Amino acid sequence: MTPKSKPSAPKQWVASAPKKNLVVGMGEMIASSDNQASLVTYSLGSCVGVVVYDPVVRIGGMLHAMLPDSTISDERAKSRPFMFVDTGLPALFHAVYALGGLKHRLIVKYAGGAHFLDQNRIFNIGELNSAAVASILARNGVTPHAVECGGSEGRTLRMDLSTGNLTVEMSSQKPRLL
Amino acid sequence: MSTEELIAKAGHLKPPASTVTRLIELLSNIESCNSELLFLLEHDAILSAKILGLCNSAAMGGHCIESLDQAILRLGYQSIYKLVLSLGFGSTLSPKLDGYQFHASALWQHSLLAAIVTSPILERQASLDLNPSIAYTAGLVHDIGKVVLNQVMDEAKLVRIREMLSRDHCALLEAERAVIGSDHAETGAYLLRSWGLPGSIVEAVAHHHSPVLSPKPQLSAVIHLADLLAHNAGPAPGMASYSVRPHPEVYSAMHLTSQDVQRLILATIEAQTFVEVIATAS
Repeated sequence: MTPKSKPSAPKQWVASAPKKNLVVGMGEMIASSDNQASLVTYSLGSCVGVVVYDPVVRIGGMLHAMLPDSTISDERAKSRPFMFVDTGLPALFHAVYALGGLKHRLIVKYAGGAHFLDQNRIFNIGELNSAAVASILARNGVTPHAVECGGSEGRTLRMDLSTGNLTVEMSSQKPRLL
Repeated sequence: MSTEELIAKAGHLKPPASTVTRLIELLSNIESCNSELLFLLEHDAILSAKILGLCNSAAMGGHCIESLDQAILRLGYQSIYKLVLSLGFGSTLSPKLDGYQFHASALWQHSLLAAIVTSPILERQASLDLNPSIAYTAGLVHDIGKVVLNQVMDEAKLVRIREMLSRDHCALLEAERAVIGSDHAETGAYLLRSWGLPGSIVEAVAHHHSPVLSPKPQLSAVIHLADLLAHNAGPAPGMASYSVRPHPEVYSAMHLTSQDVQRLILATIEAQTFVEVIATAS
């Protein structure tokens, strides 16, 4: 009589498709309701990245603005409004509203605005960018949930649209939640 | 390690093709004309082919240009000069630089961007009376010293430099001096002098982090500003994009307001398209 061989466990997998990255380029904005995706923006230097997220309907948006004030070029303000904080930020909110997000539920965070080693703050575009975001939010009665600006290192931002978790990546440290 | 020792180690770094160095020499002569440029280019088949390819690309306006003399006629001496020069230095500046955490072509793209933005800077600085082609050249080669220093940058040095940048908030230049014994500005200038580039370019590279502003701003001030703009507007590559110390008086010496600087940043952002076209062609 041959010993009974132990039946092998049936093969099974638990697999989920890798998260899709929706990449927000410099001077661009993406709003999305695809909660299988992440919004990512790379290499924020002096630029500022703003994210908004409605946790109830799981809709979010991300803006990568490069300059504070569109009045330096009317032409560019029209052709590339997301390049500037003053034109890009309202457009970001409106895009999220259009997808079903509601203002009072929105979680708002922003990061970036790095600067040179500049004690005199002459080349302070990073600071002007983050100040422009702060002032427009305040003017519209929006209190940001988290802010991380300044320093002299670039940042990559990644927001998971299923949770709204925002990760900050910098070359000198491990990725962390903001 | 002294600058001389560093350069000796960089023996394999070849100067750009003789066409390019001769072309830079030509620049010193204001009277140099199209026929001389044409003569030089016609003797460099590879460079000529690349130039024609670029001139016919959509990014350059989609001209239908069949010969070099047509190219010079249509786009002008200055444009062709810039293209030749950009392509000529491409191979020297585009390798991956592990010591600086630069992916392949990162330094190349930064250099091109700095070169291109010398033009909008000079548009507002007519009183400086600087030759735009010389400024473009200096912008293109301003960081060439990093290619030399990269060879001696081992893991231990890299760790020390990174620490000095992130913990002590040192500028990259200061960290290089402390860890290697020389910096990329000094080393680059030394290398370019040994290749026979004109003194004005060598001087601007040597001082691109310590610009000469009086009695009036020199070429080094233009390159300093171009470098800042390129660091600021380019994708922040490597470890030290923002570990740069702007000269506290560079704006006032050049009579620049915050709005002027923002316009220059916008011009730099828009120049990225050309950088990509040239970087792909080289």
